Amino acid sequence: MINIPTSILCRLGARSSISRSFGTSVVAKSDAKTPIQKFGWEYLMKQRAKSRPIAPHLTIYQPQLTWMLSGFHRISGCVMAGTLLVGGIGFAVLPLDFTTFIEYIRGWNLPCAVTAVFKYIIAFPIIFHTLNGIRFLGFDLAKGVDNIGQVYKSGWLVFGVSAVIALAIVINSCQNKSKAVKA
Amino acid sequence: MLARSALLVQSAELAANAARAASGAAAAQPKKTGNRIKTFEIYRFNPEAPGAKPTIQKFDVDLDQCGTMILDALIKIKNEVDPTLTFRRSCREGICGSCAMNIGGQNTLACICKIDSDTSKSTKIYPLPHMFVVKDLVPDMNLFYAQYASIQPWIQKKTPLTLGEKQMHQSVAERDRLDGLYECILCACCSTSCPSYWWNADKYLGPAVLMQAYRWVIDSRDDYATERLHRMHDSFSAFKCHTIMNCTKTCPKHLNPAKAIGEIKSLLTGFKSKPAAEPSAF
Repeated sequence: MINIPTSILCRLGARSSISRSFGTSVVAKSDAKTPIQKFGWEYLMKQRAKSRPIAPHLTIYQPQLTWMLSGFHRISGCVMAGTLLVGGIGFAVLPLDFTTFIEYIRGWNLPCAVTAVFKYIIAFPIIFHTLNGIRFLGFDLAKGVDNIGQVYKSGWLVFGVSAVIALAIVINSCQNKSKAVKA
Repeated sequence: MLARSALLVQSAELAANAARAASGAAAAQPKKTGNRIKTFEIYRFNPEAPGAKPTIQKFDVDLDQCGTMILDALIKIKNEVDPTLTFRRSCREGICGSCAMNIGGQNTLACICKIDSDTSKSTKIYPLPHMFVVKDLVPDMNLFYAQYASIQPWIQKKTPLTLGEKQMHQSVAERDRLDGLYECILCACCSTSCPSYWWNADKYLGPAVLMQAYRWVIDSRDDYATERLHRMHDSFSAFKCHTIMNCTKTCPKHLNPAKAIGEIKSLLTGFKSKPAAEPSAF
Protein backbone atom coordinates (compact mmCIF):
# COMPACT_ATOMS: atom_id res chain seq x y z
CA MET A 1 0.00 0.00 0.00
CA ILE A 2 2.79 2.38 0.95
CA ASN A 3 5.04 0.93 -1.76
CA ILE A 4 3.22 2.62 -4.61
CA PRO A 5 3.86 6.27 -3.68
CA THR A 6 7.40 5.40 -2.58
CA SER A 7 8.33 3.93 -5.95
CA ILE A 8 6.77 6.89 -7.75
CA LEU A 9 8.79 9.29 -5.61
CA CYS A 10 11.95 7.27 -6.26
CA ARG A 11 11.39 7.44 -9.99
CA LEU A 12 10.72 11.16 -9.84
CA GLY A 13 13.92 11.59 -7.84
CA ALA A 14 16.04 9.50 -10.19
CA ARG A 15 14.89 11.50 -13.21
CA SER A 16 16.98 14.53 -12.26
CA SER A 17 20.69 14.69 -11.55
CA ILE A 18 22.64 12.27 -9.35
CA SER A 19 22.55 14.55 -6.33
CA ARG A 20 18.78 14.84 -6.63
CA SER A 21 18.47 11.05 -6.35
CA PHE A 22 19.11 11.50 -2.61
CA GLY A 23 16.08 13.77 -2.43
CA THR A 24 13.66 11.02 -1.46
CA SER A 25 15.67 9.87 1.52
CA VAL A 26 12.99 10.22 4.18
CA VAL A 27 10.42 8.27 2.18
CA ALA A 28 12.66 5.55 0.77
CA LYS A 29 13.42 2.22 2.49
CA SER A 30 12.81 3.20 6.09
CA ASP A 31 12.01 -0.37 7.14
CA ALA A 32 15.02 -2.20 5.71
CA LYS A 33 17.90 -2.32 8.17
CA THR A 34 21.48 -1.84 7.01
CA PRO A 35 23.97 -4.57 8.03
CA ILE A 36 25.39 -2.42 10.83
CA GLN A 37 21.89 -1.71 12.15
CA LYS A 38 21.21 -5.46 12.30
CA PHE A 39 24.54 -5.91 14.10
CA GLY A 40 23.64 -3.05 16.45
CA TRP A 41 20.36 -4.66 17.48
CA GLU A 42 22.04 -8.05 18.07
CA TYR A 43 24.75 -6.27 20.08
CA LEU A 44 22.18 -4.55 22.31
CA MET A 45 20.39 -7.87 22.92
CA LYS A 46 23.66 -9.64 23.79
CA GLN A 47 24.69 -6.89 26.19
CA ARG A 48 21.28 -6.98 27.85
CA ALA A 49 21.61 -10.75 28.28
CA LYS A 50 24.92 -10.21 30.08
CA SER A 51 22.93 -8.05 32.55
CA ARG A 52 25.47 -5.27 32.37
CA PRO A 53 24.16 -1.98 33.78
CA ILE A 54 23.62 1.01 31.48
CA ALA A 55 25.69 3.99 32.59
CA PRO A 56 23.54 6.85 33.96
CA HIS A 57 22.65 9.46 31.32
CA LEU A 58 19.75 11.99 31.43
CA THR A 59 19.89 12.28 35.21
CA ILE A 60 23.61 13.01 35.47
CA TYR A 61 24.34 14.98 32.30
CA GLN A 62 24.98 18.68 32.96
CA PRO A 63 22.03 20.86 31.92
CA GLN A 64 23.31 22.77 28.87
CA LEU A 65 21.57 25.24 26.59
CA THR A 66 22.06 22.83 23.68
CA TRP A 67 19.94 19.92 24.84
CA MET A 68 17.66 21.98 27.11
CA LEU A 69 16.43 24.03 24.11
CA SER A 70 16.17 20.90 21.98
CA GLY A 71 14.18 19.17 24.71
CA PHE A 72 11.85 22.15 25.10
CA HIS A 73 11.42 22.29 21.31
CA ARG A 74 10.38 18.62 21.29
CA ILE A 75 8.09 18.88 24.34
CA SER A 76 6.42 22.12 23.20
CA GLY A 77 5.85 20.56 19.75
CA CYS A 78 4.26 17.45 21.24
CA VAL A 79 2.07 19.41 23.67
CA MET A 80 0.88 21.79 20.93
CA ALA A 81 0.15 18.93 18.52
CA GLY A 82 -1.70 17.11 21.30
CA THR A 83 -3.72 20.21 22.18
CA LEU A 84 -4.62 20.75 18.53
CA LEU A 85 -5.69 17.12 18.14
CA VAL A 86 -7.69 16.93 21.37
CA GLY A 87 -9.16 20.42 20.85
CA GLY A 88 -10.01 19.76 17.19
CA ILE A 89 -11.72 16.44 17.84
CA GLY A 90 -13.30 17.75 21.03
CA PHE A 91 -14.91 20.78 19.40
CA ALA A 92 -16.03 18.64 16.44
CA VAL A 93 -17.64 15.94 18.59
CA LEU A 94 -18.91 17.83 21.65
CA PRO A 95 -22.04 20.01 21.43
CA LEU A 96 -19.85 23.06 22.05
CA ASP A 97 -18.01 25.16 19.48
CA PHE A 98 -14.87 27.21 19.91
CA THR A 99 -16.59 30.62 19.93
CA THR A 100 -19.13 29.72 22.63
CA PHE A 101 -16.28 28.16 24.67
CA ILE A 102 -14.28 31.40 24.51
CA GLU A 103 -17.36 33.51 25.26
CA TYR A 104 -18.08 31.26 28.24
CA ILE A 105 -14.59 31.91 29.67
CA ARG A 106 -14.94 35.61 28.91
CA GLY A 107 -18.11 35.54 30.95
CA TRP A 108 -16.05 34.76 34.06
CA ASN A 109 -14.58 38.29 33.82
CA LEU A 110 -11.17 37.17 35.07
CA PRO A 111 -8.74 39.95 36.00
CA CYS A 112 -6.22 40.89 33.29
CA ALA A 113 -3.29 39.56 35.33
CA VAL A 114 -4.72 36.03 35.34
CA THR A 115 -5.61 35.91 31.63
CA ALA A 116 -2.23 37.44 30.75
CA VAL A 117 -0.41 34.52 32.42
CA PHE A 118 -2.46 31.96 30.50
CA LYS A 119 -2.04 33.90 27.25
CA TYR A 120 1.74 33.94 27.80
CA ILE A 121 1.78 30.19 28.44
CA ILE A 122 0.00 29.70 25.10
CA ALA A 123 1.92 32.34 23.10
CA PHE A 124 5.49 31.52 24.19
CA PRO A 125 5.66 27.88 22.98
CA ILE A 126 4.13 28.79 19.61
CA ILE A 127 6.68 31.54 18.94
CA PHE A 128 9.60 29.63 20.42
CA HIS A 129 8.80 26.50 18.43
CA THR A 130 8.52 28.51 15.21
CA LEU A 131 11.75 30.47 15.65
CA ASN A 132 13.73 27.52 17.00
CA GLY A 133 12.37 25.39 14.17
CA ILE A 134 13.96 27.81 11.70
CA ARG A 135 17.20 27.66 13.71
CA PHE A 136 17.14 23.85 13.60
CA LEU A 137 16.45 23.84 9.84
CA GLY A 138 19.61 25.93 9.49
CA PHE A 139 21.54 23.38 11.57
CA ASP A 140 20.24 20.61 9.29
CA LEU A 141 21.87 22.44 6.37
CA ALA A 142 25.12 23.05 8.32
CA LYS A 143 24.28 26.77 8.65
CA GLY A 144 25.03 28.61 11.89
CA VAL A 145 27.12 25.77 13.34
CA ASP A 146 30.63 26.98 12.60
CA ASN A 147 31.48 26.83 16.30
CA ILE A 148 29.76 26.25 19.63
CA GLY A 149 29.75 30.01 20.37
CA GLN A 150 27.53 30.60 17.35
CA VAL A 151 25.16 27.84 18.48
CA TYR A 152 24.88 29.40 21.95
CA LYS A 153 24.36 32.91 20.56
CA SER A 154 21.54 31.83 18.25
CA GLY A 155 20.06 29.76 21.08
CA TRP A 156 19.90 32.65 23.55
CA LEU A 157 18.70 34.95 20.75
CA VAL A 158 15.81 32.66 19.83
CA PHE A 159 14.88 32.20 23.49
CA GLY A 160 15.08 35.94 24.26
CA VAL A 161 13.29 37.09 21.12
CA SER A 162 10.43 34.61 21.64
CA ALA A 163 10.07 35.78 25.26
CA VAL A 164 9.88 39.41 24.10
CA ILE A 165 7.45 38.74 21.23
CA ALA A 166 5.19 36.68 23.49
CA LEU A 167 5.24 39.50 26.04
CA ALA A 168 4.41 42.06 23.33
CA ILE A 169 1.46 39.96 22.15
CA VAL A 170 0.11 39.60 25.69
CA ILE A 171 0.48 43.33 26.46
CA ASN A 172 -1.16 44.20 23.16
CA SER A 173 -4.12 41.92 23.81
CA CYS A 174 -4.52 43.36 27.34
CA GLN A 175 -4.57 46.90 25.91
CA ASN A 176 -7.14 45.86 23.30
CA LYS A 177 -9.25 44.38 26.07
CA SER A 178 -9.21 47.57 28.19
CA LYS A 179 -10.03 49.64 25.05
CA ALA A 180 -12.96 47.35 24.31
CA VAL A 181 -14.19 47.73 27.88
CA LYS A 182 -14.01 51.55 27.66
CA ALA A 183 -15.80 51.72 24.28
CA MET B 1 63.90 15.41 13.98
CA LEU B 2 64.41 12.02 15.64
CA ALA B 3 67.26 13.35 17.74
CA ARG B 4 65.14 16.27 18.78
CA SER B 5 62.21 14.11 19.85
CA ALA B 6 64.64 11.82 21.73
CA LEU B 7 65.95 14.89 23.55
CA LEU B 8 62.40 15.92 24.33
CA VAL B 9 61.64 12.49 25.76
CA GLN B 10 64.79 12.68 27.87
CA SER B 11 63.93 16.09 29.26
CA ALA B 12 60.35 14.98 29.93
CA GLU B 13 61.71 12.00 31.86
CA LEU B 14 64.04 14.26 33.83
CA ALA B 15 61.14 16.55 34.70
CA ALA B 16 59.00 13.58 35.72
CA ASN B 17 61.80 12.22 37.92
CA ALA B 18 62.24 15.60 39.55
CA ALA B 19 58.51 15.82 40.18
CA ARG B 20 58.51 12.29 41.63
CA ALA B 21 61.42 13.18 43.92
CA ALA B 22 59.67 16.35 45.03
CA SER B 23 56.38 14.58 45.77
CA GLY B 24 58.31 11.82 47.58
CA ALA B 25 59.93 14.44 49.80
CA ALA B 26 56.56 16.01 50.48
CA ALA B 27 55.06 12.64 51.39
CA ALA B 28 57.92 11.98 53.81
CA GLN B 29 57.10 15.11 55.77
CA PRO B 30 54.88 14.33 58.77
CA LYS B 31 52.75 17.50 58.54
CA LYS B 32 49.52 17.05 56.61
CA THR B 33 47.80 20.37 56.08
CA GLY B 34 44.66 18.87 54.61
CA ASN B 35 43.01 22.19 53.83
CA ARG B 36 42.65 21.23 50.16
CA ILE B 37 40.87 17.91 50.55
CA LYS B 38 38.69 17.27 47.49
CA THR B 39 35.96 14.64 47.43
CA PHE B 40 35.45 12.57 44.29
CA GLU B 41 32.23 10.63 43.86
CA ILE B 42 32.98 7.78 41.51
CA TYR B 43 30.61 5.29 39.84
CA ARG B 44 31.49 1.73 40.85
CA PHE B 45 30.24 -1.54 39.39
CA ASN B 46 31.81 -4.89 40.12
CA PRO B 47 30.74 -7.57 37.60
CA GLU B 48 32.43 -10.34 39.65
CA ALA B 49 30.01 -10.03 42.57
CA PRO B 50 26.81 -11.92 41.69
CA GLY B 51 23.75 -9.67 41.47
CA ALA B 52 25.85 -6.57 42.07
CA LYS B 53 24.27 -3.16 41.49
CA PRO B 54 26.17 0.00 40.52
CA THR B 55 27.08 2.24 43.46
CA ILE B 56 28.68 5.64 44.05
CA GLN B 57 31.83 5.60 46.18
CA LYS B 58 33.42 8.69 47.74
CA PHE B 59 37.18 9.21 47.79
CA ASP B 60 39.01 12.08 49.50
CA VAL B 61 42.16 13.32 47.80
CA ASP B 62 44.59 15.97 49.10
CA LEU B 63 45.06 18.27 46.13
CA ASP B 64 48.46 19.40 47.48
CA GLN B 65 49.65 15.82 47.03
CA CYS B 66 48.09 15.29 43.61
CA GLY B 67 48.62 16.32 39.99
CA THR B 68 46.36 18.91 38.35
CA MET B 69 44.20 16.67 36.18
CA ILE B 70 41.31 14.33 36.99
CA LEU B 71 43.37 11.42 35.65
CA ASP B 72 46.11 12.22 38.21
CA ALA B 73 43.51 11.94 40.98
CA LEU B 74 42.16 8.65 39.58
CA ILE B 75 45.66 7.17 39.36
CA LYS B 76 46.42 8.41 42.88
CA ILE B 77 43.27 6.75 44.22
CA LYS B 78 44.08 3.51 42.40
CA ASN B 79 47.68 3.51 43.64
CA GLU B 80 47.12 4.57 47.22
CA VAL B 81 43.53 3.90 48.27
CA ASP B 82 41.70 1.30 46.20
CA PRO B 83 43.57 -0.76 43.59
CA THR B 84 40.28 -2.25 42.37
CA LEU B 85 39.18 1.08 40.87
CA THR B 86 39.06 0.36 37.14
CA PHE B 87 39.38 2.85 34.28
CA ARG B 88 41.08 3.09 30.88
CA ARG B 89 44.05 5.37 30.36
CA SER B 90 47.11 5.49 28.18
CA CYS B 91 48.73 8.62 26.78
CA ARG B 92 47.79 11.08 29.60
CA GLU B 93 47.95 13.95 27.07
CA GLY B 94 44.64 13.91 25.23
CA ILE B 95 45.59 12.07 22.06
CA CYS B 96 44.63 8.43 22.65
CA GLY B 97 41.06 8.96 23.80
CA SER B 98 41.17 6.09 26.31
CA CYS B 99 40.18 8.01 29.43
CA ALA B 100 36.92 9.44 28.04
CA MET B 101 34.34 9.62 30.85
CA ASN B 102 31.61 11.83 32.28
CA ILE B 103 33.22 14.31 34.69
CA GLY B 104 31.04 16.83 36.52
CA GLY B 105 28.20 16.08 34.10
CA GLN B 106 30.19 16.60 30.90
CA ASN B 107 31.89 14.04 28.71
CA THR B 108 35.59 14.75 28.42
CA LEU B 109 39.03 13.19 28.70
CA ALA B 110 40.16 12.76 32.32
CA CYS B 111 43.78 13.50 31.34
CA ILE B 112 43.06 17.00 30.00
CA CYS B 113 40.30 17.94 32.46
CA LYS B 114 41.57 20.06 35.35
CA ILE B 115 40.40 19.21 38.86
CA ASP B 116 37.98 21.88 40.09
CA SER B 117 39.96 23.37 43.00
CA ASP B 118 36.75 24.37 44.83
CA THR B 119 36.98 21.78 47.62
CA SER B 120 33.54 22.64 49.03
CA LYS B 121 31.95 20.78 46.11
CA SER B 122 32.62 17.18 45.20
CA THR B 123 33.38 16.11 41.62
CA LYS B 124 31.22 13.32 40.23
CA ILE B 125 32.77 10.87 37.80
CA TYR B 126 30.65 8.45 35.74
CA PRO B 127 31.38 6.22 32.74
CA LEU B 128 30.35 7.47 29.28
CA PRO B 129 26.55 7.94 29.46
CA HIS B 130 24.15 5.20 28.29
CA MET B 131 26.91 2.72 27.51
CA PHE B 132 26.92 -0.84 28.84
CA VAL B 133 29.37 -0.89 31.75
CA VAL B 134 31.99 -3.64 31.87
CA LYS B 135 33.43 -2.50 35.20
CA ASP B 136 33.55 0.82 37.10
CA LEU B 137 34.44 3.49 34.51
CA VAL B 138 35.05 1.05 31.64
CA PRO B 139 32.22 0.94 29.06
CA ASP B 140 31.84 -1.62 26.27
CA MET B 141 32.91 0.13 23.05
CA ASN B 142 32.37 -2.73 20.57
CA LEU B 143 29.29 -1.28 18.86
CA PHE B 144 31.00 2.10 18.45
CA TYR B 145 34.02 0.48 16.79
CA ALA B 146 31.83 -1.73 14.59
CA GLN B 147 29.93 1.35 13.44
CA TYR B 148 33.21 3.05 12.62
CA ALA B 149 34.29 0.03 10.58
CA SER B 150 30.92 0.03 8.76
CA ILE B 151 31.63 3.40 7.13
CA GLN B 152 34.80 1.90 5.59
CA PRO B 153 37.27 4.52 6.80
CA TRP B 154 39.89 4.12 4.10
CA ILE B 155 40.52 5.58 0.65
CA GLN B 156 38.80 3.79 -2.24
CA LYS B 157 39.66 4.33 -5.92
CA LYS B 158 37.73 3.32 -9.04
CA THR B 159 40.85 3.21 -11.19
CA PRO B 160 43.43 0.50 -10.46
CA LEU B 161 46.31 1.83 -8.44
CA THR B 162 49.96 0.82 -8.45
CA LEU B 163 51.50 1.79 -5.16
CA GLY B 164 54.58 3.96 -5.54
CA GLU B 165 53.83 4.77 -9.18
CA LYS B 166 52.51 8.29 -8.73
CA GLN B 167 51.29 10.70 -6.11
CA MET B 168 47.58 10.98 -5.33
CA HIS B 169 47.32 14.67 -6.08
CA GLN B 170 45.38 16.96 -3.77
CA SER B 171 45.33 20.76 -3.98
CA VAL B 172 45.83 22.95 -0.91
CA ALA B 173 42.12 23.85 -0.91
CA GLU B 174 41.13 20.20 -1.14
CA ARG B 175 43.41 19.30 1.74
CA ASP B 176 42.02 22.19 3.80
CA ARG B 177 38.59 20.57 3.65
CA LEU B 178 39.85 17.72 5.84
CA ASP B 179 41.00 20.03 8.63
CA GLY B 180 38.78 19.78 11.69
CA LEU B 181 37.71 16.28 10.59
CA TYR B 182 40.81 14.08 10.56
CA GLU B 183 41.91 15.16 14.08
CA CYS B 184 39.17 13.07 15.71
CA ILE B 185 40.62 10.58 18.20
CA LEU B 186 37.45 8.45 18.44
CA CYS B 187 37.10 8.86 22.19
CA ALA B 188 33.29 8.64 21.81
CA CYS B 189 32.66 11.66 24.06
CA CYS B 190 30.36 13.19 21.43
CA SER B 191 28.42 10.06 20.50
CA THR B 192 27.71 9.27 24.15
CA SER B 193 26.62 12.86 24.85
CA CYS B 194 23.93 12.61 22.17
CA PRO B 195 20.39 11.80 23.39
CA SER B 196 19.56 10.49 19.90
CA TYR B 197 22.43 8.02 20.21
CA TRP B 198 21.31 7.10 23.73
CA TRP B 199 17.88 6.02 22.50
CA ASN B 200 18.88 4.64 19.06
CA ALA B 201 22.45 3.37 19.39
CA ASP B 202 21.68 0.38 17.17
CA LYS B 203 20.29 2.32 14.20
CA TYR B 204 21.85 5.79 14.45
CA LEU B 205 25.57 5.95 13.69
CA GLY B 206 26.30 8.80 16.12
CA PRO B 207 28.26 12.04 15.67
CA ALA B 208 31.81 10.62 15.85
CA VAL B 209 31.20 7.98 13.19
CA LEU B 210 29.21 10.37 10.97
CA MET B 211 31.99 12.95 11.09
CA GLN B 212 34.47 10.30 9.94
CA ALA B 213 32.00 9.20 7.25
CA TYR B 214 31.94 12.81 6.02
CA ARG B 215 35.74 12.97 6.18
CA TRP B 216 35.91 10.16 3.57
CA VAL B 217 32.94 11.41 1.54
CA ILE B 218 34.54 14.79 0.84
CA ASP B 219 38.11 13.55 0.43
CA SER B 220 38.96 14.61 -3.15
CA ARG B 221 41.02 11.44 -3.66
CA ASP B 222 38.13 9.08 -2.83
CA ASP B 223 35.92 7.90 -5.72
CA TYR B 224 33.05 6.30 -3.77
CA ALA B 225 31.22 9.30 -2.25
CA THR B 226 27.87 8.25 -3.78
CA GLU B 227 28.14 4.69 -2.46
CA ARG B 228 29.23 5.96 0.97
CA LEU B 229 26.22 8.27 1.12
CA HIS B 230 23.87 5.52 -0.04
CA ARG B 231 24.84 3.42 2.97
CA MET B 232 23.51 6.18 5.27
CA HIS B 233 20.46 6.82 3.14
CA ASP B 234 17.78 5.54 5.55
CA SER B 235 15.78 7.51 8.09
CA PHE B 236 18.02 6.55 11.02
CA SER B 237 21.75 6.26 10.13
CA ALA B 238 22.27 10.01 9.66
CA PHE B 239 18.80 11.56 9.81
CA LYS B 240 18.25 10.55 13.44
CA CYS B 241 20.39 13.59 14.28
CA HIS B 242 17.97 16.14 15.75
CA THR B 243 20.53 18.98 15.84
CA ILE B 244 20.78 18.86 19.63
CA MET B 245 24.43 20.06 19.40
CA ASN B 246 25.68 18.27 22.55
CA CYS B 247 28.40 16.71 20.36
CA THR B 248 30.05 20.00 19.38
CA LYS B 249 29.60 21.31 22.92
CA THR B 250 31.39 18.38 24.54
CA CYS B 251 34.20 17.51 22.06
CA PRO B 252 37.48 17.58 24.06
CA LYS B 253 39.39 18.24 20.82
CA HIS B 254 37.13 21.21 19.96
CA LEU B 255 35.99 19.65 16.70
CA ASN B 256 32.55 20.15 15.16
CA PRO B 257 30.68 16.88 14.48
CA ALA B 258 27.33 18.72 14.26
CA LYS B 259 28.49 20.68 11.23
CA ALA B 260 29.77 17.54 9.51
CA ILE B 261 26.36 15.88 10.04
CA GLY B 262 24.68 18.99 8.60
CA GLU B 263 26.91 18.66 5.53
CA ILE B 264 26.00 14.97 5.21
CA LYS B 265 22.29 15.82 5.37
CA SER B 266 22.82 18.53 2.73
CA LEU B 267 24.53 15.98 0.48
CA LEU B 268 21.83 13.35 1.09
CA THR B 269 19.00 15.78 0.32
CA GLY B 270 20.70 17.19 -2.77
CA PHE B 271 21.17 20.73 -1.40
CA LYS B 272 24.91 20.34 -1.90
CA SER B 273 27.09 18.04 -3.94
CA LYS B 274 30.68 16.92 -3.60
CA PRO B 275 33.00 19.25 -5.58
CA ALA B 276 34.78 17.55 -8.48
CA ALA B 277 38.43 16.78 -7.85
CA GLU B 278 40.88 19.31 -9.27
CA PRO B 279 42.95 17.83 -12.12
CA SER B 280 46.43 16.72 -11.24
CA ALA B 281 49.23 19.02 -12.37
CA PHE B 282 51.57 16.07 -12.94
